[in-house]
Amino acid sequence: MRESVMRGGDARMSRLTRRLAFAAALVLLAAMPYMLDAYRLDLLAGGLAYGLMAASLAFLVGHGGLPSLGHAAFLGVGAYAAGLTAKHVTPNVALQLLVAIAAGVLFALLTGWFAVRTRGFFFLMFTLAIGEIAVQAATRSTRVTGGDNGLADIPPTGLDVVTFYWWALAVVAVGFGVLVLLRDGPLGRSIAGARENEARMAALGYHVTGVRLAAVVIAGAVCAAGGALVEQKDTFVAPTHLEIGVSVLLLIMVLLGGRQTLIGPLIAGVGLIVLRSVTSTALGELWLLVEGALFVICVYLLPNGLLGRRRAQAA
Amino acid sequence: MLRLHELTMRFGALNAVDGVSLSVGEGERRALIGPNGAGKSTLFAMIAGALRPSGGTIEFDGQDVTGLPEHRRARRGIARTFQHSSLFAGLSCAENVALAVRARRGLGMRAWLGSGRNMDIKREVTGYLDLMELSEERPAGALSHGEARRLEVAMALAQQPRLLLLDEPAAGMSSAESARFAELIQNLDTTLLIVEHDLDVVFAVASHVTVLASGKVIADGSPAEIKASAEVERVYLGTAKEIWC
Repeated sequence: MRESVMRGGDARMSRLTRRLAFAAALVLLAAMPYMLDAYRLDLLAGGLAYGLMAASLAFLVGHGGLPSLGHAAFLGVGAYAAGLTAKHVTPNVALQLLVAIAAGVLFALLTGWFAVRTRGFFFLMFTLAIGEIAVQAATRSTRVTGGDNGLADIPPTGLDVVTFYWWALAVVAVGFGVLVLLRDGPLGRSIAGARENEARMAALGYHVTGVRLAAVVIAGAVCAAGGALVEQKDTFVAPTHLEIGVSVLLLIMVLLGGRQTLIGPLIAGVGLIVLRSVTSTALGELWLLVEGALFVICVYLLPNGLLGRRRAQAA
Repeated sequence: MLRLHELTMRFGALNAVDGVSLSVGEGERRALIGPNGAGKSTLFAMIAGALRPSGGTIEFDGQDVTGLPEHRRARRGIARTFQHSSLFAGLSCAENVALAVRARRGLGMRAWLGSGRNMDIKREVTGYLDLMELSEERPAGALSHGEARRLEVAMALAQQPRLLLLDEPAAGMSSAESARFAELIQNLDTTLLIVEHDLDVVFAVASHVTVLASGKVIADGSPAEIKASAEVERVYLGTAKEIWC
């Protein structure tokens, strides 16, 4: 309850201020190719993709109250769909993205149909199972996905590093914008209502299962878009992209950034990917230790995430 | 408008509601009274659709709605308040009511609304909040008991129901509050079914009273008849006096 009271802070920061901040951040990010070298730019593009996926998970977990342990499955669905499209259909990155989003929606409808009928702990276990099934499906259907070796021989996008970065930035900005607009629209508020009180929602005339399913579909579609970017960046996707470790990583981003916001997890996603790259170069395997320690410290000191804390003090 | 036929709810060996038949006419204000455990709230939950009856049928507007899920009954015009306030604790009062308004207008699943429609909704929300003397921005979880009860009613009114089920709306209100509340209810022109322990409110509001005990209807009549009934005195008013006086 406390966290949602703080959500009122969104209203306090006026819509105009938020839009200006968003525009300023966008301009700054768009100028990055003039400041960073190709390696760092590529890294940032990947960070943004994970940030978008973390934001989509925050929509599901924080806004919808649906704790998922299998969100990486949507990353995988988007990445494989985009990769297969690139390999067999078209080199057009936008079309690949659309196919990935469509696949994400379809997968969300198929799995969500059952998942949203469970609650709390069972929802968690159900999504965990879906994630595992997705990994198995990717591993076993060798002929389509390349199995354990991953989907190889995906033709490159044909975009240079700078152009791809801008493409990724555009996708992330639009995807994030869609998440924010949907959260603040009638459907998004109905999703918040279902999080707060299902019985009352039904009494008001809402089909609660449908509302929850809509939350899964929105989060799944946006995450699949992020997955498509991951594939397009590396022109590679393997079952390891879908593993529980990735789902947990996304959850950590959400918790670090503050699950009651969408922008917090986005920032945490970018930060964590960049930090991981820096520490793994400097420390080798030890980076896991750094990341773990950081996570423990953050959760201990900032139970509401980086942005949640700030907002609490403001209020 | 509402007809219950032999409605029964069994929980294991307990018949919480035991073959209740009653009909409520258009525009009627029916009060349902009875001692604790008489099955009043269970009956309400079945009429609203939150509980599936073990037996019997519910007819609303001439149509059998016994198998209809709760949200579809709500869309046909049945609204209820809950015995224990059931609000969206983390959301503002305005948002609590807005959820009801959007549901009624069939806009709850829209991805986006134009500013004109949003203003419309906001104006309507403000109207219900003013009527119940509630401020817009306070989170529902921070309301006092009396305010929470009023928000319950504001949400149910925002549904503009054809049949309004009020489950102990005045519980925990001060006598001044409940008198004001009774006055407000009297001015509503909707069919009403009210469960209430505060007999002042019941006799002020109801045009017809049904008395329930152990899941069965034991008396039925005008408020004056019920006041005069010896049987009712024995099972309900008598015990109430012992408790309250």
